Amino acid sequence: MPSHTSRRAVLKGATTAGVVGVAGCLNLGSGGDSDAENQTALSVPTLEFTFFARMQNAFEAVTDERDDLGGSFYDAGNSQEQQVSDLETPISQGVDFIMVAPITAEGISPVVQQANDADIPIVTIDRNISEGDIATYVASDNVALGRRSMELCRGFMTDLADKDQYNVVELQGTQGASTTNDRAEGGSNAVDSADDLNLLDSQGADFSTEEAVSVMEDFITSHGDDIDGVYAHNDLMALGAHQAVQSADVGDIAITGIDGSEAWVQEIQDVDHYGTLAQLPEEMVRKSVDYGLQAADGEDLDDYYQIEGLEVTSENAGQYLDDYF
Amino acid sequence: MATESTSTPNSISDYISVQTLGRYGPVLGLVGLYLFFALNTANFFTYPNQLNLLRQVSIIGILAIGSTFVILCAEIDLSIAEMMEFTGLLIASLATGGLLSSAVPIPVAILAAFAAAIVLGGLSGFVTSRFGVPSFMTTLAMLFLADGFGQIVSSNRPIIGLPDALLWLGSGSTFGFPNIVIAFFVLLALSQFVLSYTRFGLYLYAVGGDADAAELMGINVKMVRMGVLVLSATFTVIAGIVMMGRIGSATPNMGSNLLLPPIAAVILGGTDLFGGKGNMIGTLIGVLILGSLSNGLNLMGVDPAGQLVAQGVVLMVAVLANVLGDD
Repeated sequence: MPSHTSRRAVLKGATTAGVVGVAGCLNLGSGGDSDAENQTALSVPTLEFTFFARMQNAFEAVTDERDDLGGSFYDAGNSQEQQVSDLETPISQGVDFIMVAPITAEGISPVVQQANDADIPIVTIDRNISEGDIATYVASDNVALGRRSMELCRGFMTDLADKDQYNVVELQGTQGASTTNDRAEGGSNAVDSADDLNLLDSQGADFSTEEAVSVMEDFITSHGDDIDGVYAHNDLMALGAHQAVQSADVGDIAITGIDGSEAWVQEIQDVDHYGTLAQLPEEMVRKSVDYGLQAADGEDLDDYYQIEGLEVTSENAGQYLDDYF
Repeated sequence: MATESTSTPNSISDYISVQTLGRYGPVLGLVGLYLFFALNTANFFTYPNQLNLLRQVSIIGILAIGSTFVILCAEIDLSIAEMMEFTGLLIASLATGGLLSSAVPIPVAILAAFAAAIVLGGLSGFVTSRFGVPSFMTTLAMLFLADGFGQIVSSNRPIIGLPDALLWLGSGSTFGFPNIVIAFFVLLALSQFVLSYTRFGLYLYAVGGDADAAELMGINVKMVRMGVLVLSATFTVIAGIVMMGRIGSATPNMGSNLLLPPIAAVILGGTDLFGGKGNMIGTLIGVLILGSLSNGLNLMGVDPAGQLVAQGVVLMVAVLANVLGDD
C-alpha cells in the first residue's frame, strides 16, 4: 500500500525532525564542567518568570567561574511531577548538594526523602518545603519586602503632596500564592503602623501586566483623584498601573512594586515617585552555592539566610541596571 | 414526525419554556448583570466606564472571534494565548532590534509575525486535517512550541521601548473612541459577514454540523479544517499587537491568563461546543458577560476571593442556560 508507506514516512520524518529540533532548543547535555571536583544541580519552577531565568544565568556564571564546581540546571516548566523527575537524576548521580526552588511546599517531599537517605544536602532557594530535612533555606523575606515597598510608596506620596491622609490602592498577586499572602501582610503591617495611611481598595491582578491595567482602570473609575499611591505585589503589575495612570490623566500617583525587573526599573529611572524592592536572584544563587558547599563539607548551617531586598528608586536605578542587566 | 410540539405555540407556557429561557440565556444574563451593577455601583453605567469595559474585553474578544470560527467547525484551538505571546514578542523584538542586529521597519515585523502565525497555524491545521489528529492535541503541541519560541525570541525578558507606531492600535483613539475597541468591532463585523455571506462561512457550518455529510456534498473538509486553524492563528497576531499597545510593552507571560476566557466567551455566547451552531453576535455577548462581571465586581470593591466565587457562580448558571437552550 503506497499511500500507507508515504504517510508513515512523513510521520517518521516529522518526528525525527521534531526531536532533533527540540533537543537543539533545549540544549540538552549542557551545564558546566562535568568532571569538576564538586557537582551540584539547580531546579527552578519555570523559566516563564524572569526571576528564575536570572537564577539560571547566575548558576551558569558561577559554574563557569569556579573550576571546582560543575552541575546541571533543570526547568520544571511549572509541573510538580516534572520537578520530582528532574531531581531524581542528580540524586542517582550522587551529586554533592542540590539547590531547589520548589513549586509547592509539599510537592517534592518524596525526593527530599531520597536525598536525605543518600546524604545529599538540599538548599532551598526562594521558596521552602514543608517536610524533610534541608541544609538551609535562602530567600528574601516577602513580608519584609511588602512592608518596605508600602513604606517606599508612602515616602513618595508625602513627597508629592502635603496631606493629612494618603490613600493607597493595592494590586495583589495570584490568589492563594504564599508570596501574595506574605506581601499583602507586609503591606498591611505598614498601613497599620502609619497614622496617615489609608488602604482604599485592594484587588487581585494575578501578577500580570494586562490584568493590572484593567484593575487599575476600575480603581480610577471608583476612586478617581482620591488615589495617591499604588502598591503592586510585583513589578509587572506596577508597569500595568503606570500604563493605566498615564492614559487616565489623574495627575501624579506614586507607584511601587517588588522584584526589580528590568522593564520597571527603566521606567523608574525617569520618574521620581516610582520605585521597587529588588530581589536579588543572583545573590541567592551565589549564597546558596557557598552554603551548599559548606553543607557538603559537613559544616552546620543556620536554618534560614535572608537575602535583603535592594531599594531601587530613580537615584540608583541606573546603577542597578548596570550591575544586574 | 407528524406532530412537532414546538411548531405552533398556543399557550403562554410555550413562550416561556425552559428552552426559550435557555436560548435567550446569554442576552438575559448580560442584561441582568448590567441591571445589577447599574443599581449597585455609582459608576458602572457611565460612558467612561463603558469605554473602559470595552477596552478591557477587546483582547479577549479578538481571540474569541478566532475561536468562534474554530469551535463552529467542531474543532478547538488551545494555542491562542501562547501564539499571541509569541507573535507579539516576535514583532516587539524585531521592531526594537533585540532579535536581529538592527531594528526592522514595523510593517516588516508585523508581516513576519503574520507569516509565522500562518505557518504555525497551518502546521496545526495540516496535521489535524491530513492525519486526523484531533485539533485538541495538535494545538496543545502548538501551545508548547509557541511558548518556547516566545521565550527564545524575547530571551525571556519583557521588551520595552516599543515604537509609538506599534502602540497606536492598542492605546490610541480615533474621534475619542479607543482604537482597540474599533479594531475589535471591525473584526467582529467582518467575521460575521464571512459567516453569513460567503461560501467559506456556509461550508464551515456544514463541516461543523456533520463533517461526513459535508464531505459527501463535495465540500473540501480538509481545507475548511485547516482554514479555521490558520484563521485563528492570524487573529492572535492582531491580538498581540493591540496587547502591546494596552500594556505598553511585550512581556513573556502576557498570554498567561488568556487561554480559557476566549473559549469560555464563545461558549457563553451560545455557540455549540460540538460545532455547527452559533454566531459572532453571541460571541460579543459572551465576551461582554465576562468583562462586565469583572469590571462590575471591581467597582463594587468585592475582594479577590469573593470575585472568584461570583465568577464561578455566574459561569455555572450561564453554561447551564446555554445547554438548556440547546433543545
